[in-house]
Amino acid sequence: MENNNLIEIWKQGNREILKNARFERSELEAFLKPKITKTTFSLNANILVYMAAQLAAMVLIGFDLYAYRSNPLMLKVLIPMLAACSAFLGYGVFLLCHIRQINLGDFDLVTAINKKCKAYRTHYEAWMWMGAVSLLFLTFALNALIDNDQGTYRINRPVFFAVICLFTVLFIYGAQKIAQSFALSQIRVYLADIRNDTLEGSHRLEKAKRKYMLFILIIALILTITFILGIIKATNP
Amino acid sequence: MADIAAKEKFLEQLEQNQDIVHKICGLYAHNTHDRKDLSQDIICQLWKARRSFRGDSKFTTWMYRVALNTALLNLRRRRRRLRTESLNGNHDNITAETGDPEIHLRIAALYEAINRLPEFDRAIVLLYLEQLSYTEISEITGISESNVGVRLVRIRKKLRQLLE
Repeated sequence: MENNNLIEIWKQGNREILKNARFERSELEAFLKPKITKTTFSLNANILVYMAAQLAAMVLIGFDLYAYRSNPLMLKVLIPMLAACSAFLGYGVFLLCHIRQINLGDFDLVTAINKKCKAYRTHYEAWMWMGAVSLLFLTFALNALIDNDQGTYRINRPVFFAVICLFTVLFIYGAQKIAQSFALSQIRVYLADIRNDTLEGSHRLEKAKRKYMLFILIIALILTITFILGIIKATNP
Repeated sequence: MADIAAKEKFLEQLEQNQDIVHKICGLYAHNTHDRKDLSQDIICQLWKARRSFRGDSKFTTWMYRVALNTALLNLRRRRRRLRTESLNGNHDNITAETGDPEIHLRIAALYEAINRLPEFDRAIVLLYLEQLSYTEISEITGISESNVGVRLVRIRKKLRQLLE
């Protein structure tokens, strides 16, 4: 079949499709109204959650600063924490803008995917550390505030405290890293499929996704049972 | 005020070039409901991305790019559901609208053949059938002009095999 024939059949097909498919102006406006409102708020949920945690940490540190205003050592700890939280929050805003720019940018598909991969590897990598440290700050600020009610903040076993802090940061970072790796692998597979002209990677990924879901369900079940048993034990000592 | 004027201008351009949206939906969505959903998604994405159009390329080139990106990403999200559907959904609708059965058969065969191509090749063949230049296809898809040429030779050969 000649190429011109293909184009001619395509044109005939289009004429049929377009015969009844045209949108009126009012329809176009109706499409845009609810979607625009919805998408304005559908920003990257993970970043927003951690930004909320940072904001909460900043508020609590603010209370702590007042509560420990006569304790120079605590002030030396709390002020840098507040500064760090503000910087993290600023970085979060930057990251949201950056992701939004990629999503809405005038890029071709391959460039857009490459940009997303790069953002995941660079900015988001830094953000995961910031998120982990922010949660540590949040718990520290909360503990300090509770302890202030009962006297003064005191670290009885500094080495143990440092180990627990380090473990907390690594655990939070690790959890985020797993989620990020999966998202990144999805993007990479998509890019590879485009380059290699296949869909094999995507099919494999969907199978892997189902396995992951089963794994997550099992973990969630174990954690829920442990949580319920913990509550039962705590209420019946 | 400026926002209202910009919105008006955008809607006017969109209305003029809406065929692009319908053609892409015809290729990437397989029933009326999915086509409507996809066209809404594309229109919404075009609206969100409107500020990224700086006039470096033609409005239609930009529109193809955004619309195809949306269609491809949308397809990924709905693949599981799509895989269970028959490829004939699209052709059934064309039958209902077409009077001449011979024309219908040719159109249906072409659509079915295109639907058998990998999704990225479908985008390329759409742009080719729309008679865009290699430069424009390259701008929209992000692959080099020579790669466009190579892929098109392969795609046309495959299409001919499928149609024969």
